[in-house]
Amino acid sequence: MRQDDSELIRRWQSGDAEAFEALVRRWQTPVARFLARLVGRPDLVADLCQEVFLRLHLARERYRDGGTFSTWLYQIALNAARDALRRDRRAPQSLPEQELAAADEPAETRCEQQELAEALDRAVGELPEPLREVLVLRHYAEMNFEEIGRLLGVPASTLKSRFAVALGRLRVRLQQLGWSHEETR
Amino acid sequence: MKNCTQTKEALPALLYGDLRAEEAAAVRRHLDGCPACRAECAGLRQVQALLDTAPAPAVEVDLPRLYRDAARRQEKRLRRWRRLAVAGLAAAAVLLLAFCLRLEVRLQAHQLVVRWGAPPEVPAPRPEPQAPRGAPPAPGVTPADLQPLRDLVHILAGDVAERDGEQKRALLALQQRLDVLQGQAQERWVAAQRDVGGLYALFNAQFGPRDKGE
Repeated sequence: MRQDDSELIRRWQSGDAEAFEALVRRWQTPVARFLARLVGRPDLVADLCQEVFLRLHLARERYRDGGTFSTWLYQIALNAARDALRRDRRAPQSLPEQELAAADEPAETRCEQQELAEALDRAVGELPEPLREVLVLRHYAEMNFEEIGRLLGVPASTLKSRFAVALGRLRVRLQQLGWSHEETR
Repeated sequence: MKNCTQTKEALPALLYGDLRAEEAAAVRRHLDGCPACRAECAGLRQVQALLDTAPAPAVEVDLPRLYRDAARRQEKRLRRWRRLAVAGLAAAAVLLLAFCLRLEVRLQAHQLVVRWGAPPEVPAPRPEPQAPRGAPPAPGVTPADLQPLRDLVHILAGDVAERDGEQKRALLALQQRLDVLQGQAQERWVAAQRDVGGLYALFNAQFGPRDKGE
């Protein structure tokens, strides 16, 4: 039976290391996807993901059951990504080969997915940081604008406009990169 | 009824389910009669689908490395705290010394004057029979004066010892978890070797042993 996050955290806080490892296994792929889109640098994702779960481990005592675990985790991921981007201000231009999670699909599908991932990394990576942050927090972390507002210290109304602008720009850029409406059917 | 500008502004909220029911219905009514806004909506829906479809990078957190890094960072924190405590104790010791020696540092007539011990007696004026002899000597340092400093030292030493204990317990737990993970990895390795051995024996039984020369 799938235990919920708060139960796993409760066990982890009382010293059960296996509960922590279960949380890692559950969240490592969503966090990796979030980080990949946020930093636009697939080569940084593995190390960043490692850093996020290390920070999580070190912050064990600070978690209080009042909030959602995922919001807390994505906040740690956002901070880790910001630190990494501050260290490495290079624009996400060269995109090294990335290994994708679903490796058991046919080669043609894998190839197409690889191209899509690269196009998305590029298009999202070209957005200014405030637009990129609200896009990934709303889409991948599934946070609402009030939660994002508390996290970023920006009013929800501003975030809604930023999100609309981000989606619009992404749409134009993806079309330029060859991902038109017909290709996704 | 919404116009095109209002509808386009509301499209992201519609796609992500952020609109109230009546507002969403008004946007949908406009979309039914407006091909331009419908195309805009389809484009945004496509972006949403692409964001969902794009796969995540294959990442697996290296748990033994994570535990080792956690232990290293905890030790670093402890070292930093110890340094702070030593600096605090040193400052307390200097204060204590200054207090015991009745140290006095002041600038007087363009000169730095450092003086310790009891203040020098002011040369008495010509003896006058009934004049009092200077100020009475300052009272000595009593154990009660030193009590706050002694308390501070005890508190700092106690805190260092307590943190030390906590960190040692945490490090021990990490080490035990690492040992378990290493044990599991070793078991998996032995099982894999056994499987390969079994497969090899099966192969030999089916097709006969292979000559080295082949």
